[in-house]
Amino acid sequence: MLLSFRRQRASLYAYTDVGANGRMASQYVKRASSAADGNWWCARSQPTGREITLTAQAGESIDAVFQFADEVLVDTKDAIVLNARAYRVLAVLPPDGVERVSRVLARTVTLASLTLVDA
Amino acid sequence: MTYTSHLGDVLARLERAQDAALVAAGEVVKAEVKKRIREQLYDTGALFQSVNTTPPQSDASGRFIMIGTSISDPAYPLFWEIGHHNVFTRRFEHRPIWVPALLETRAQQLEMAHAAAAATLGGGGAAPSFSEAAD
Repeated sequence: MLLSFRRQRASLYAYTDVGANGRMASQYVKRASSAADGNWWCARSQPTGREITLTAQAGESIDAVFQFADEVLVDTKDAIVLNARAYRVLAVLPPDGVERVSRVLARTVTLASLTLVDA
Repeated sequence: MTYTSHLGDVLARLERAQDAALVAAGEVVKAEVKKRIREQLYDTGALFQSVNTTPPQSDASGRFIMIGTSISDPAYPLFWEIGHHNVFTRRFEHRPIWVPALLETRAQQLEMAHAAAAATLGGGGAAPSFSEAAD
């Protein structure tokens, strides 16, 4: 993929469980880049060619594939925020013949459902 | 005490998990097909860009996803896949890409499908690892 294709700025949040005594408490801590806004260049596409509505729940229905540069650390269960819409990473995908790119499959979640921490 | 059924929610979430698993597995195959096109075929980029997947859909046997190309006129990806007599090289040319990519990535498909399903269901521990022999 050409660098120019990654033309959106996304915030990355690493998943952590801050719960105690067996209780889960999900928290997402910002993984900031060295840029002024702390965000990362990315490209977003729909894996199946169009946005799919799987449920009637607004904001929890769209699959997306994000592409980042390979130096970007992104893992399953992390969160991505792009244009005020939040995504949760479902899987880290294998490279598709394009070098130095990391790809993840993500799904939208409601932004309010995530506890985001700007470290 | 009254009980409230959440069966509908559970079933909806299971369906979302199943679809996420299918999309993730489809992405594995799509990535492998694209990789092989780059490595094994002379391509202007049209074939590479044409590799796509359908949304998850249903038939009598359950949910499924299709992976293919939008190039159908002429259907030269099919000719390379099943073999053809090439007028330029004057030889029988056969470079299967799609079926080997599907069959040889089974373990990775399962791994991705499990990870995506687990993350959708709210779990999301490490996906179990599969070996090619563990069919």
